Amino acid sequence: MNRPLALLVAIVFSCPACLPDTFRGSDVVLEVGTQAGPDITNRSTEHYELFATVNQGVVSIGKFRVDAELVAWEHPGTQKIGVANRQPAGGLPQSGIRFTTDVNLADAENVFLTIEKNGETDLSPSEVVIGRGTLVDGRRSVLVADLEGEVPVLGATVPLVDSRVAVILGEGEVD
Amino acid sequence: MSSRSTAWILATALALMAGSAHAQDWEEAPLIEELPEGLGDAPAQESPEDGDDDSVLVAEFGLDERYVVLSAVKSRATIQEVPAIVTVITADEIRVRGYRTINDLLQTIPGFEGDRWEFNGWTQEAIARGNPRTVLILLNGVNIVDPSRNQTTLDRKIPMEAIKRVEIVSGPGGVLWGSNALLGVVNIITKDADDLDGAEVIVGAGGGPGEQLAGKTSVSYGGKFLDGGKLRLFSNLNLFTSLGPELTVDSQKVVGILPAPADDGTQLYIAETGTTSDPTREYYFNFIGQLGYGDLTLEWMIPWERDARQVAGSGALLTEDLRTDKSGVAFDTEGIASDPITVLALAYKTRLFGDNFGVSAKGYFVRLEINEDPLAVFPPSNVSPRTEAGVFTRLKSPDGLLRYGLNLDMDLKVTDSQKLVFGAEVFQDNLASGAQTTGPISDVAIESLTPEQRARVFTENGVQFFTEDLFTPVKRTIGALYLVDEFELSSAVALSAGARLQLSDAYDPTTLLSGAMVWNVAGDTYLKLNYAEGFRPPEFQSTDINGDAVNQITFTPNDNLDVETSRAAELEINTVLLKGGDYVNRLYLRADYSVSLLEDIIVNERGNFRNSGTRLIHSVEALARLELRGGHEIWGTYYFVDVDDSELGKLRQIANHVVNVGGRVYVLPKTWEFSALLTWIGPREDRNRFVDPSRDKLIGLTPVRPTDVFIEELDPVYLLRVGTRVLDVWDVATFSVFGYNVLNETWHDPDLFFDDGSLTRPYPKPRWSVFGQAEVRF
Repeated sequence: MNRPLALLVAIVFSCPACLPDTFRGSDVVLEVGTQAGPDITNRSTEHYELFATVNQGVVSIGKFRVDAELVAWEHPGTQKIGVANRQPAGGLPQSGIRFTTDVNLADAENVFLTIEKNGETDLSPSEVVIGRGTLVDGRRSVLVADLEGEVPVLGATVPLVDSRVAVILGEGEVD
Repeated sequence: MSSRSTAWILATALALMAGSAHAQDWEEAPLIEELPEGLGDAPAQESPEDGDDDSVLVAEFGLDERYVVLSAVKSRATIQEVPAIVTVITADEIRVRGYRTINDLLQTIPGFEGDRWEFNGWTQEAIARGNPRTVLILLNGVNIVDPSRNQTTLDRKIPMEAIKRVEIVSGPGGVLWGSNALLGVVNIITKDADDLDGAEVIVGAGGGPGEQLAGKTSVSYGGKFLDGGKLRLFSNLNLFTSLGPELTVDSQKVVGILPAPADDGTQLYIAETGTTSDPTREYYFNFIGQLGYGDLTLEWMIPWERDARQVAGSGALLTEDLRTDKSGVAFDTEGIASDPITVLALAYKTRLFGDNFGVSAKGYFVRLEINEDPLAVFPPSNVSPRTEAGVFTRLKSPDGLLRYGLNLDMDLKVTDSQKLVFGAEVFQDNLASGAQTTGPISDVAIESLTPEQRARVFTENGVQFFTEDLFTPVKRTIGALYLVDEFELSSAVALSAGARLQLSDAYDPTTLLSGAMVWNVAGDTYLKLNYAEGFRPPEFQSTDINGDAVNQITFTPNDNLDVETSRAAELEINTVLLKGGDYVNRLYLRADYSVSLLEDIIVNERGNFRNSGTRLIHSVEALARLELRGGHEIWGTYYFVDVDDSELGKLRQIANHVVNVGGRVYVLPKTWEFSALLTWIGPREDRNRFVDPSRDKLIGLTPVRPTDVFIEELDPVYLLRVGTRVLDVWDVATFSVFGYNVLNETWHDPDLFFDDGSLTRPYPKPRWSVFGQAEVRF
């Protein structure tokens, strides 16, 4: 084989094979709500935080607060990241709070949602867990978990309804 | 200049120096100034006195058209030695391969994924090196990219019968071409008086589910008159009509919460397949031509179109009963849109000072029509949440989007081994009348309007509508200067270096650089090392949209966006082998590897535009063409791309591999030919939502929630076309028949932006079709 032809072949066949896959994190969609929607609204001194357990460790997926309109905002911050489950009069259920995390959640086993105090420096989850679910293989590249739990309200509790987490795995090229 | 820019340039310069130093030992083959021996069966170059000076800017040429190019250096060069990665498709190849559209053509060019559909075919575009809306589309050197979305729909609007050649540059081309040449340049060059002496009439018809009941008429006339041909005319009248493709969707999103920037939520589907029926006929008319006298040429493209849409962007069929609202006549929901591009240009070119100085000036006017009627999201249905007329709007700009400009390109031969190419451009993009959106509005929503807004509420067929500005009037003026120095370092090595300064009243000054070395390694083998940069200005949609619009999905404008930039380092080797053998005319081979980097990519995140991170692109583009004695030919291309976004990771909605294999065989020499083209598009992924038909119904429809998201794999697709032509019947007629997607692949495109919000299902693409035509020349 002459030299030009050898170089041509080398260019065509060597480059595609040597590119590494790069992990860039996971996207997470959270649907969370109660029968009486306002119960999930923000408390002035608290916010919500979604965690996952990965290889026996706990990692934070994202923090948010919910205003009186059931709009979810990143915490701390001013970025709207979705809406807690609500059903406008005559309309369809609105839902879906979205997070992007740098954490590889491919091996995540469980997710749980907590209420955390604003300004805390402790990175570990509080003991106020309002929802918990086991992640199972969903459809392609997705783990899903149904969240079950109760939200404390005025000394009582209100159960979560229609609450679910979907983890979209950040894989590389197509299979 | 950023430190990263400096590093890239230094790296390229070091590589250039290394190559140059090594080149001193390679004196065995001179750098070609003419075409390599054996390239083409064409006559020798004509002298300047013949009117076809070979170095005239944007000149014509009498050599083998496939091996020369204008766009890469704004003067003629062979594709082997030009300092860019170039593919040329000629009018003859367009006929032999049965190309129907520019998109169709780009599907076979390494470095491009052609004919990608968005919104179920509402836009049909080509993506370069894995990134959408990064290609500068030129018509005879005039930018026809829509600045409101940095996008060009390449459907039937430009008739292939009027095209002389298409020159495609893979990679950035910003120094020479300015705006939008981020990862590719496609220059569509239309025919002129040299291409036709007399009249040509083409009549064609076809059918099949891929293109139903299609018809075509094309009438061309060309000739030269007065003073030995000083007056030159070519004109083409062209009409294409069809009922479009029959498309089958696997489910129809009938209504839903409108996702980001509005809130997301449950969407309702008809969880069963649906196929378009009773389609609306579409028409594409175009009048293209050139009229020249001496050094002056008037060019025009005057189109009219009626582009029918059978499927809403959401996936709902627009041609079934869903379009009949409760009152029966409230809204015509057959999607009729039109985005024709009108171009008028006056060009002047001449050569002075003993042929050492060339000037080419072109003033132009472009009108891009914006007319989406309706811009349907959800068709009318019994469950529409807003009004009986469904959820969709009209989008129109009364005067369209106008562009006026002047290009001035010059070349100066400094010495026998040095040439300067330089020039300037100034143009203005003008959406003077803005763009208005009209949509149905409820009594409740009317109450929230201001008095001024309420004055724009009107009733049509019993339904209340509201008109508001979606784009406010906007003007953007751009000016630029560029200089490229081409220098032959030795008989085997040529260098070039270029710079461009781009100025605008809408964004910060931008500088672009380029550098290249072309090394004639031996014989007909060339090695190219290029460094190129490009940029893309923010689209009007991101800077001048009305963020307070109420009857349309809208975004928050951001007038502080930086331009997006690209830079690429490219290595190409090309060679001609097996020249002049007993059975082989030549084997042309080309392969390149490039690393491209996009920076400051503008993204829309929950309705807010911002400059995001970077995209690192690795690509390999290869082309082989074996030309046999007797006109037989086999060719193939391979394209690999890998895109790594600093925020998103690998782009998954693109094909990492595309392969084309084609050929032509003469059954009877130069009389009866067969051709075939197989395109393989590798697997792609689409972020979608799963429609589970077993789920409990909600008001008779299947609910789908945001957590029903999944990554859908779209299988590889094999697209085979076959054709046959009978040539020169009675010396005047040619008959041809082509079959498209003859394997009848059922296939889909993912959306361009890996979105599961509004775009939740893959877009169906056309199945098989057949088209035959007769051409007669007088």
